[in-house]
Amino acid sequence: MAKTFNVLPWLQDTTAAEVWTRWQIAYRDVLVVDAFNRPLLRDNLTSHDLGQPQYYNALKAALLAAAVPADTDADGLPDDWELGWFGNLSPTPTSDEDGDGADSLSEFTFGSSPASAASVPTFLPVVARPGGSQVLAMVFRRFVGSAAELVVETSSDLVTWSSGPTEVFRSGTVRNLYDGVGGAEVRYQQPSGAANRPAVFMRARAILKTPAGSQP
Amino acid sequence: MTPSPIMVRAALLLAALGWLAASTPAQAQVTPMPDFQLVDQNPNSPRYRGTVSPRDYRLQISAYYFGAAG
Repeated sequence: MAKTFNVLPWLQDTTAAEVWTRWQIAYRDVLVVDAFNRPLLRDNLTSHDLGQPQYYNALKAALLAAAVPADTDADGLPDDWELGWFGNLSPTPTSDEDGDGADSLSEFTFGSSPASAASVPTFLPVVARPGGSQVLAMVFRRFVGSAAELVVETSSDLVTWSSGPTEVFRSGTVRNLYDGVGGAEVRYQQPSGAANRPAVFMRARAILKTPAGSQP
Repeated sequence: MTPSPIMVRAALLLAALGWLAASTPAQAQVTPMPDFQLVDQNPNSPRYRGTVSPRDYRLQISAYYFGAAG
């Protein structure tokens, strides 16, 4: 927790920005905003000291509730992603709204634009050298957070595909791109023990999550 | 976040919490918070010295803590 806290942006308000005034802030306010920067909840840590369990638990519960994606049409695509791109809930996981060959589930999972045929999921193969050995790695965009689900697999013959940490793992952290559409960059690679295989292929697949509240 | 003797106003951008929240019909009527651009002052942050705006976190949940510079 302390480590995460230390790498967060610290913003100094200015007379030009006047955030405290324009956001009607009191000292020690906590403000959570939604996907469209609308206020979701506001708390004050002076009046609600987190040293007292009831306030700590209340704020924790509110944050966890705020982080649950809504999917009112139960199609597996979060409402805010659909509303953010199209202003309605008409896209489905298999629809291809921009006609670029990538369906909406793939565009969502891999952080490309579902409204531009010029934007499709892209994957950059690279050679990693853990411990001096050469293994295959792949860098690609994905949607930040846990609403999107994907699986990365490797194969030596393009027929049998395997996943799991002995085959491929995420190296490093998910790097938020702060691009205003929830884009992040991630890297997967083979473990060093996979070096010297005669051939290897790698792929990433988008998986449709079971919408909350629906039957599996 | 111990306040310094000189109470300099500062906002701490807590984080993108991961994913966006429910947009209930009532919430959909709420006006977005006014936008701003401020410079990241944290030398340990990957965005150090860059400008940060709520627009950067669109389609994500984000949280702000308003404390005092220490």
